[in-house]
Amino acid sequence: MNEWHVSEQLIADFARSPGAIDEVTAASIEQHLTVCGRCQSGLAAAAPEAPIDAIWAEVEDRIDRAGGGVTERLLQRLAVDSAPARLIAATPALRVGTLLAVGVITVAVVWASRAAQVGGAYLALAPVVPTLLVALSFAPGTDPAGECGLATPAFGFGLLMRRALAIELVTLMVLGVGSLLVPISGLDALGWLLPALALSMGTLAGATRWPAPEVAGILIAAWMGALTVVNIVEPGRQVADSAVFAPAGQFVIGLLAAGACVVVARNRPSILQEAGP
Amino acid sequence: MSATVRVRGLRKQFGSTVAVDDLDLDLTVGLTGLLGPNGAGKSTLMRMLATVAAPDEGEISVFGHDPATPAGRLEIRRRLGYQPQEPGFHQQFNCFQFVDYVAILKEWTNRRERHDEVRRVLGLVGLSDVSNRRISRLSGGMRRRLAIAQVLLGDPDLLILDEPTAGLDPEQRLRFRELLGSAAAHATILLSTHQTDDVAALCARVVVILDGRIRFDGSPAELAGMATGRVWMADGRDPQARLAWVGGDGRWRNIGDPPANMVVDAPTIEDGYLVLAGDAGAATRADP
Amino acid sequence: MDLDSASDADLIAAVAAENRGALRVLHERHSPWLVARLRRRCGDADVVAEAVQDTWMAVWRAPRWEGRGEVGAWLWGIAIRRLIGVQRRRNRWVPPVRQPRDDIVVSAEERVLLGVELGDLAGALTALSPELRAVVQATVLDGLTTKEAAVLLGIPRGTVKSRMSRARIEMRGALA
Repeated sequence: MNEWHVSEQLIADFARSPGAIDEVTAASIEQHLTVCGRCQSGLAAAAPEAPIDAIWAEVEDRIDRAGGGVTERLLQRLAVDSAPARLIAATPALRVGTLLAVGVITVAVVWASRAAQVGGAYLALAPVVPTLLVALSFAPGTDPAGECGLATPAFGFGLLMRRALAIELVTLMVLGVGSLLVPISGLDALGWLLPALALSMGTLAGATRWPAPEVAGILIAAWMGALTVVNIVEPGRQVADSAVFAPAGQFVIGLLAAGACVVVARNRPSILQEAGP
Repeated sequence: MSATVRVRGLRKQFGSTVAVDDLDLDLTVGLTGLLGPNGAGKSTLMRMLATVAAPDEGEISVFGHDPATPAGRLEIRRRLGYQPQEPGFHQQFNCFQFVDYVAILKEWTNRRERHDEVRRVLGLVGLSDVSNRRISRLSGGMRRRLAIAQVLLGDPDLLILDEPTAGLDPEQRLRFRELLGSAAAHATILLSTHQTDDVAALCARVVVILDGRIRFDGSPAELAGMATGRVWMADGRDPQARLAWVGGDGRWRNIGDPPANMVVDAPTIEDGYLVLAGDAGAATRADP
Repeated sequence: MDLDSASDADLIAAVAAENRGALRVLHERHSPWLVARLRRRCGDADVVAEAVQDTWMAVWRAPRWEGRGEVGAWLWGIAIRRLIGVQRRRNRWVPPVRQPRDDIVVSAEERVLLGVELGDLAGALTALSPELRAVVQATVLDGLTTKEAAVLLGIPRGTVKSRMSRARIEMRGALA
């Protein structure tokens, strides 16, 4: 560092009207400023504060806007910065790990169906996946803010319900892709869709009154029971050809799913309400 | 001054354990300290006041709203800041993201305003510099301050703080006192702690809760007064003392019913609490 | 660590540990002169402000000062390139404001002392025409490539090259 410093007056002139000093002098000041801490702070004291403060405010804002999880960054890329979307995305059920798990389970079920040459296994098991995830959305302690989040206006049954619907939607799409790989031709490969809606929306409807895991357990047991009963009544038939997946059976299941949707829609609390501690 | 929080006949039971038993309490604007040994029901009471847990019996009214109804709960939560004893942070958040997330839950929908507010509260608890540090890499004291930061969002009218000073170093505790002191001018604050000196320094009123019931409700001076004539100094542990400990000067401070002719010492709020809490307090007592 | 009295190098290390306060102190120390210096190269205050913001974002994301030379020189290297980046992004070029003022008098002594900073270059620069001087400043003093200098000065690349070779000939004469 040099022993001498640019005079206070000159450095102040340089700070306030950079274009006013002749170029060679200015170039010399610049060279000195790069290395001299004392003249840097001298200039800082002379420079107008407002633009400097504005720069910092913007830098902080940019730091704080960046970051967040993969889901959140995806939402940002989609230009979704609205707070409700972020609340729904904050659910652990929508984290990459869970989505990967859904993918792995789907692949496993597809693989099992193909290996056994029984497409029916996919139709029977696929509805269980979204149902379990809907139940998981209501598990205690899943909010990322922990107990701090519980005493807030936005937390409550409405929020959990929206999160459950979000994860259900994603899961149904993954399962839809999976059904393309199952050895069943045409629309029959989508035979799982209405049962999946009936079971998961049924869980959601039931969760308005009872604990979600119990409701999910009962509905899954009922679904498996129905398949077994049909199998006993019509021995020797493949699952995929059973009455459950025939048009009449699908119609009944579709009615049940629609009924569950109506119950959910009717009991749909505002996102700000809570079902009770 | 009229009560902002009214509790009547409150009762909460976990299995066969009664956590809070037929409890009445009114809170007004200002700081109220809540003392009591672990398991006395402090946290359960605070969780019920914070609309996080529902009572088995009894009534709660906060700002005239009933937390048992969804609409009442909503109104209460809009004016509430709650710091739980175990915040249960999501470790992947950094400080800013955590408080920002809670701010969204608290209905700060405008991003710019919300971010300004988040930066403000992080600054109040001295976490601005580390606002980008992951929660998993924070010290215990920093986590406690982070939990306090989210309480301060929006300058709420009711603050429920469950052991906010645990894990704070002396300087941080002083800063915290400063913070609460200014909030207490307009807000109702209920603060639980094991630090009797926090209560003595901050609170105009102190409530001692033992086995789910209120055993004392008065000023810190009145609490100290509970031990009047029951504290004496001696060269050893007096057999008649219920509690006794030796100080740094080698003298023993005895609490209990003093023998005759003993010179009694001026009691502190801690002595008063110990007399009340009896042996239950001995377990958590550390020498000064 | 007391950030306000920490060295620039320590502050950069703290920024690497995601300490926002350290970045703020660096900003408070360096933004004023970076702004003043960039303003001599660009007449648009918004562009300059954005370039300085970009500079701090770059430091925040990659606080990798290699420990060689001055932190100030490293920051300037980032800042001048960010200025060029912003100008390119906005596809707009505003020449710097040149307003000589009579009331600013640089004493003869100061001129001599300041001349030391540039060495023999000072005299040679004085002799150059403004256009040639700008090119020398951008390439020699600011360390820019021909391409970057072209964006900064708002002239075609070929012009930068031809002016540079003319400047070289003139300066060789002056320095000889």
